[in-house]
Amino acid sequence: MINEKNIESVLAQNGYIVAPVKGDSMLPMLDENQDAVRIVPVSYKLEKYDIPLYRRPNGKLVLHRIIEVKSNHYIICGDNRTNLEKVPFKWVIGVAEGFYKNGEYVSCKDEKYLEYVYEQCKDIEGRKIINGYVPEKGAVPPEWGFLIALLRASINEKEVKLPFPDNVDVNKLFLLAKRHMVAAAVYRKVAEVFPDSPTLDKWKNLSDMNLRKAILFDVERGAIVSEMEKAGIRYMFLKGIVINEMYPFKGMREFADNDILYDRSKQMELNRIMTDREYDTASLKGVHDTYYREPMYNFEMHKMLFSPRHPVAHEFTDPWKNAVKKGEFSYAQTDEDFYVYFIAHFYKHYSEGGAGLRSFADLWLIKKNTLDKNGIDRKYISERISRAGISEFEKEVLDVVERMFGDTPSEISPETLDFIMKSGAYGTMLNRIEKHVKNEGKLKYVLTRAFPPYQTMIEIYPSVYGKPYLLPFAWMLRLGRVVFVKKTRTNMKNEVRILKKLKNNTNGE
Amino acid sequence: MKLKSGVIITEANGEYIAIAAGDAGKNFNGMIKMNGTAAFIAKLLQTDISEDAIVDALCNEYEVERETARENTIVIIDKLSSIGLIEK
Repeated sequence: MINEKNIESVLAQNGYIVAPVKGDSMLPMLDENQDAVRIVPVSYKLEKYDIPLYRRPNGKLVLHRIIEVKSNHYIICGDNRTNLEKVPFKWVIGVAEGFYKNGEYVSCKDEKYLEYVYEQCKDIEGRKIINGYVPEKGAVPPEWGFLIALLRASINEKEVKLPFPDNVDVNKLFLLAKRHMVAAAVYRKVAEVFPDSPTLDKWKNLSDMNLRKAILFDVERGAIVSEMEKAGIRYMFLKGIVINEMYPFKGMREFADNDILYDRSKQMELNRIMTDREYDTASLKGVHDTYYREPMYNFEMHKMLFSPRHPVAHEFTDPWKNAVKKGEFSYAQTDEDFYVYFIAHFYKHYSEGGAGLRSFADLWLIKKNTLDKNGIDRKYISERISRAGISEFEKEVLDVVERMFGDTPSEISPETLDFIMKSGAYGTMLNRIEKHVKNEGKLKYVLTRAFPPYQTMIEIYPSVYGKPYLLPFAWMLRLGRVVFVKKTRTNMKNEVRILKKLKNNTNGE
Repeated sequence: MKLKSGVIITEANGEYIAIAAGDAGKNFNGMIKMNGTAAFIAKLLQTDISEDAIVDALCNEYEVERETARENTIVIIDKLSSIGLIEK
């Protein structure tokens, strides 16, 4: 039986494999629901437009298309992607010889296939990405409204209201739910409404794996805080760790990491704990220290709640001020402070790059568990929100969640719905850049990105603090990352691509 | 025999679940849902224990014939072994 770990040996033994497709990165050519690809081993240099199967250093297998051939690597891109990847020859283990589309075999030498390739590759930056929504300009896909209805039923533990649109594409619904990180949340209701859908298997798998991840994180987090307590480091669980418990079932809420606030004077002790637990230290700068360990453990250990340069930071300078003691070193935010912090954090994402359905589902549950609780100090909340300058934002998002998830769902404005549904779970780089260019103009945006102000540079390079004369050297160091660090270079290229497409603001520079 | 280090037996959403972390997770990165009897046996296997001791514990906990208890025990041990979670 072929599995991801033994593909190389099966290829060597049999001379070929036929494998089902996973993911949406090679749409429209390859659909994971129905298509398969025939791979043969390769020991020669491939050509432009060939589709190699390659294994990244982290073990992940990828099947994407060659856009350019260099002396010792390929430049590669999925047909449903715009980001380019540099793939050394030695990563490649095979090449697609043909594929089964709707059950019929198509050779990669077929003329019609080659016409598709040329068409697909002529403008990579201008590609329309297929991810389950917006098939036509101005049209609202049926999947949008139905996903919101499923989410409403899921987080409120109620029936899905019928009738529902009979033109809902369950696979598109799945892709959309994944993008918004709510697929696990709605799985149970999807299984009730579409019990015979072929998409249900992978949906169930995602839901089960999210539950598994939640349990693994619970155990690992427990071990980490146990060590922190032995070292006398006080801590407080933030954001998702608390919000996860508000969902009706364990494993419903998808997440990427755990956020824990800790006593920043003990940074080195914490670093020792995490290093001893075999974590890689991704960063010790800025608002939080970032730690990662395979296969998926990602912990953000916060030294503060917001960067000092953030517009709301003045309201969150002492996160321990009202904290409730839960144990000798364990603290928690009050319900009031948890709500205020969430609104401010939500504001940060929404105003920067957008925020998707998961944030709205979170807000609805947080509202039920804090703002709507008997005895909550609404005056205190209102004063803090006002001092943070986000009263209008709070009013706006509370209105949206009431319309989405309240007892009497009502319409959301088309512009707001469009913004939310296109954002995905964490917003988009496009939204973020669009907002800045609209406010500042392209020239100022580019200059600020290339030469960030002193307040920003303190966060990135703390040694600059109190020494503004070090700024030019810090800028050079930062620009050096663009040259030498692949991820930074890729992000910069993506930003440049977006900027080229954006018009300048009307106040223009 | 016992479960490998890193195997977690827990209850979630009204079900018993076994997953693997650490070294045990290298062989098994999925999730098993179990009934009460299977979870009872799995929890006993968290410390070194013989098949006979498991059978004795089952008979004490549940009103079950010894032969039935042994059959259940073998099925569960075989299942956990097949996914590489048992250390003999």
